[in-house]
Amino acid sequence: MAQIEVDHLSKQYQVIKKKKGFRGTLHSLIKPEKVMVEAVDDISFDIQKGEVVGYIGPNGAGKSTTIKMMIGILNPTSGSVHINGISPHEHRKEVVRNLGVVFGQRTQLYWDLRLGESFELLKRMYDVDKKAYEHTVAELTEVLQLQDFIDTPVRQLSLGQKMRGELAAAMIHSPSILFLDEPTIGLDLDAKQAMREFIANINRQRNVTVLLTTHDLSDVSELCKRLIVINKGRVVEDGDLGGIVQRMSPYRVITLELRSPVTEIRCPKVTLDKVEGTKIWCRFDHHQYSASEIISELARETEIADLSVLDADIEDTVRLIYHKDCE
Amino acid sequence: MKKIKHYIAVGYWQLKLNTLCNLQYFSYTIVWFFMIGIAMFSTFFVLKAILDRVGQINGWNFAQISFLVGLSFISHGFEDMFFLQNRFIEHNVLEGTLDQYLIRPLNVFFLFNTAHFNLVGFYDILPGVIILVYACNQLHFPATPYHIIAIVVITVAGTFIRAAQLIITGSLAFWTKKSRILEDTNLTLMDRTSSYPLTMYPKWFQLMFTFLLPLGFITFYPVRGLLNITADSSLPVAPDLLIWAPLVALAFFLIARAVFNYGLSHKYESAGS
Repeated sequence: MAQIEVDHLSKQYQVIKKKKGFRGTLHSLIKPEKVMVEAVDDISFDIQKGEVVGYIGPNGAGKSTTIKMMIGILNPTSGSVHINGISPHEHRKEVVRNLGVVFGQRTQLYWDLRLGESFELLKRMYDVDKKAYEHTVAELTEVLQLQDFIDTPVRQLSLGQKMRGELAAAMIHSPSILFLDEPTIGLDLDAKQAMREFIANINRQRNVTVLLTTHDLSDVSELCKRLIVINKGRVVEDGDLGGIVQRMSPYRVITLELRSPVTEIRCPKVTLDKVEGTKIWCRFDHHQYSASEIISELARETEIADLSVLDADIEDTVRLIYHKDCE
Repeated sequence: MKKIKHYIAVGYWQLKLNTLCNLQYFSYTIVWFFMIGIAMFSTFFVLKAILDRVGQINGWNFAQISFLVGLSFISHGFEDMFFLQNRFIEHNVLEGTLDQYLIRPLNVFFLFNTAHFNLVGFYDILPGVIILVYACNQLHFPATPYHIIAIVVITVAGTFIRAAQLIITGSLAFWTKKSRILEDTNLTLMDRTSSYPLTMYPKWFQLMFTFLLPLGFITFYPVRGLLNITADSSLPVAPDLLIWAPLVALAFFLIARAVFNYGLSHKYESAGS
């Protein structure tokens, strides 16, 4: 049995169509035009224990709505969710006991209190045994390097420190599933890297299942083997990250350092993307041509000093998926 | 039993942490203490000036009305201490901040109502106690266990009736998205129905605040019974017996909890991130 089962899940909202101007507003008041908005439209997927899954999509795609239905915040219009075989809508308290949740844009820490005091409250909320709590806090303090600021009021922490605190708070009760909604938003490179290492570690060491929602695709490429892409409330891609990138983005990029500058390339098998002095970037369809074939043809018309071949970029792939779905 | 202990532990910690939070802004609470004291005593002195001229209001003299005012301020203070957050349910609904309670393995109504302890409510209580003590002296109110328990019962019941009123109007935000303005009206309504004899208002008003919104039970009815003030016979029942106040408070609070829970589970939409 999968740890997370999402089955034909839908969420509709009724919204009142606002009309322009004073007359329109008056008309909306007297005779409101109600419109059903499909925030999540018949999505299904399973997630196995220990998976790290990237759940991505453009703004307003339905990511947060799906997660909120998965953790029992919102009730679905139709379909079902089961976490460890239990429905969060019928047994919310039982389900959330095993979940850790981080909303990158909302805090669950007490603003005016020391970070450690928020942990103390969470210990009571989840009824964590004293020994287990002390062990977990010691471990989290070491891994997330909280020792320098665990006694500092939350309002005085930097964004990176706060996010480390949020992540630790979500792990106090040792949940088996972690829902992370944009956990690296606004963080600098070092803080992002620290967060990613922590997530990778808890997945590896504790076999914690992670569902990661982010707009930073570096998070996905570094952490996730599986990608679920949602757009306009529907799942448009679900599978192995590498496979999706390979399939969706047929191009590879070849970068050449030339002995002398060029302005154009005659080889019809490549598209010249960019020229910077003696450095050029060309794109080619790796399903049709091999890299060696392209290199030998380019070598015939230019004098190559150095070269590198890059796989398709995840950002290009995701952009392609979003746009393909819009067409 | 284990479950109750768990909830008590969480409630205690929320209370403790909130007190610490409040103490971070101690200078603000001191300013509030003086402001609220001035505001409350000015109400008292205006009332005294009026009653010095007219003698009585519907059979209630100044000392008896002071008794009402004192108890009204006290229950207002306790309501502010423990239930103030219900005035801001609108904000929680619009911002989606109830999410933080829904992700915890505990009852949301309990968590929400213990998550915001407001120390400044204590400063509302102090002027109330001073006025009540003054009224007791003037009335030669007997300090028997029954009379002391009666004051405690009226205070607790009044606090819960006030809280229920705030919760019900605040919870309207689940349907209307806006309820803050109603909460401001609530404060005026509760203070005017609990600081003065309800019988000074028209009969329909009395009926409404007895049977529809039972604000007459915050102080008026139980105090009328306790001080043996002749009952107005224009209403079909005489709800002066002390027992009515806690019973009404319990029923009203349970209704309020049901409204909150229904709104949360059926109408709460969280908010976009």
